[in-house]
This record gives sequence, C-alpha cells and structure tokens, in this order.
Amino acid sequence: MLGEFEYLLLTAAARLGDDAYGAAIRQEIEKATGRRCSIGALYTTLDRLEQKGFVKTWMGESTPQRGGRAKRMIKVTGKGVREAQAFYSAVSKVTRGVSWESA
Amino acid sequence: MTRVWNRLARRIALLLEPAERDAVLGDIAESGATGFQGFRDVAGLAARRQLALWKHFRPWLALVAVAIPAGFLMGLASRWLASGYNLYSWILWNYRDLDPSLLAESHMSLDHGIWGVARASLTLLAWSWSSGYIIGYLSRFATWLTGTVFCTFFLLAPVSYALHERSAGASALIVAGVALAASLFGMHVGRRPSLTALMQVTFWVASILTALTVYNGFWWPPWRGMHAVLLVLSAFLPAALSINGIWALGRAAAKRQGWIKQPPR
Repeated sequence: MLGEFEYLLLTAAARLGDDAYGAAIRQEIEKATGRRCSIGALYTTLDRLEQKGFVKTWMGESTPQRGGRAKRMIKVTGKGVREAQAFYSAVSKVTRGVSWESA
Repeated sequence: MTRVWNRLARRIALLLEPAERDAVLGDIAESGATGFQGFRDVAGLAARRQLALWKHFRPWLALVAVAIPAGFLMGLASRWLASGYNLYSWILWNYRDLDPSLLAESHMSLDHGIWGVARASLTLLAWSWSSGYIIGYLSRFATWLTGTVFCTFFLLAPVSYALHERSAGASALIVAGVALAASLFGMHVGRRPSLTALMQVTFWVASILTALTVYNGFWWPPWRGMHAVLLVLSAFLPAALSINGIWALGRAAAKRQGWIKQPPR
C-alpha cells in the first residue's frame, strides 16, 4: 500500500506525463497541497518508488534556466498505475459517507 | 549573503552522488529559490542520504574496525617513528664524537638504524594508505565522517606528544602529517569500487613490512605483547580484503572460461 506522499508524487508524475521531473513535480505537489515540499522528501520518496518498481527515472537534458544542469526525468510504470488506483479506490471507499466527503 | 548560502549549498551537494547533485542543483536554480532556501533543501537531502548510509553495516564496520583502532595505533606509530628520527638524526649529527663500538653494543649502529627507520617509515606509509583505502571502500559517501574520526584518533598521540615535548614533538607532527596525507589519498581512491593492482600491491607491502617490523622487534619497544598482536591483526585486515579480491577475480575468470558451472535457475 502506498503512503500519502508517495501517492501525491505518483499522481503528479502521471499528470505531467513526459514533462515529469523533480522541479515540476515539486511545484505540482505544492500547488495541490498548499504546503512546502522539501527536495529531501521528494528525492528519497522517488528512490523508494523506483526500488518498488512504481516509477522509472533517468537523467534528461539540461537547460540554461537550470544553469546547464540535467533533469531527473520520471515515468510512472504500469505497476505504479495499478498501485495508485488501489490507493485511490481504498481512500474513496473509506471516505464514503463521512461528513467531510462533500466538503 | 545569498552568495555565501549558494556556495555552502554547492559544498554540501558534494555529499550527493554526481547525477543527483546535478538534478537537485538544477531544480533549485529552476525554482528560483533564494540562497538560504536552496541551502536548506540541499542540506536536508544530504542529511537524509547520510542517515540512510548508516542503516548499512559497512560504515559502522569502517568506523569501529578500522577508523578508531587503526587511527589510534598509527598515531602512536607516528610518535614512535618520530622518536627514531630524532634519535638517529642526533647520532648522525654527533657521529664524530661517538664510539661506533658502543653504538653497536647498544644496537644503535647507524646502518641498522637507517635501515630500521626506512623500513618503519615505509610500513607506516603503506599502512596509512591501506587503512585510508579500506575506510573509503567501506564507507563510500560516509567517508567524510569516518575519515574525520580516523584523523582525530590519528592525531591524538602526535599532538599530545607535541604539547608535552615541543622540540621533539614537531617531528611527530610532521611524520603524522605525511602519513595522514597517504591515508587521505587512500580514502579518495577507495571510494571508487574497483580493486586496482596498485591497491593489492600496497596491501601486501603493508602486511609484509608490518610482519617484518614486529618479528624483528626493531626499535619500537611498545610493539610487543598485545600491541604487536593488535598491529598484526590490523595490518592483516587489508591482506584479508586483498585475498578476497583476488578470490573474486579468480572466480569471475573461471566462470568466463566455463570451469565453474552456473547453478540452474
């Protein structure tokens, strides 16, 4: 079963598709949660997800706005998609009928 | 101030793997984080990575089995070697006024002394390099911490000697400095994962020289009894690693030749 932050990261990566990399995912998570996302939490969670086979990462191209440094690109695997679906379904089921469901 | 934080962030980022360092510093540059925010992000990730390293046994092994005992013993060895340098430089300086037969009687003849000091210096250098290599090899990215502990223990004896014996202690500090430089170089090389021929040779040289020095007694009076056992054990740790490396290389070669069959999956 995924953790909350793992789910957020997987969802952000899936939403960004081919443009999923560290800084973009971080921005996406901060926008969705309204909270600061630390790079330490992001990269250690990313490693964990990769070890579990839920994402695949590789070093991408560099851009001038990054000071010529490469991006760590991220792609959600089929196993990752199934795991995220299972998490979402569990959260939906457990939330049904609870007072804050419609809030 | 921002420049200082940026510089600190780049320094701390050296603790990360090169690819990750690139990605993280790039992310920070892209997000436009101010100096302190960038530093906090890099420091946070580096701290997490360092903590994760200590979940494995390797850095602990490097710290407990090598950095502390070898550092302490080599600090003592530097101090005793410096005493040898002081003694024989004094003999050389005053050689005209000394009776050679008296020196020979007291086992302090010049040829014996110079050979002994040279052998002990080589032993210390080879041993420092080997210990540094093992620390780097076992600790990898935690080397900065295990290495700092090693250097601290290494310097204990020479510094305390220098504080008590100002004139004679200076030579102990010089000997320790040279030996420490060899250790630091060993750590740097040890962080690369392959076992090189140079490393194998140095390990064996360290072990053989140490065994010779201990066996002959030489002029390190404390190298008797328990001290000698500890020294031999510490020096043969590199030899054990070396044998392990040769064994692994031999097995890999035998597999390539088909002499060892792969077990069915």
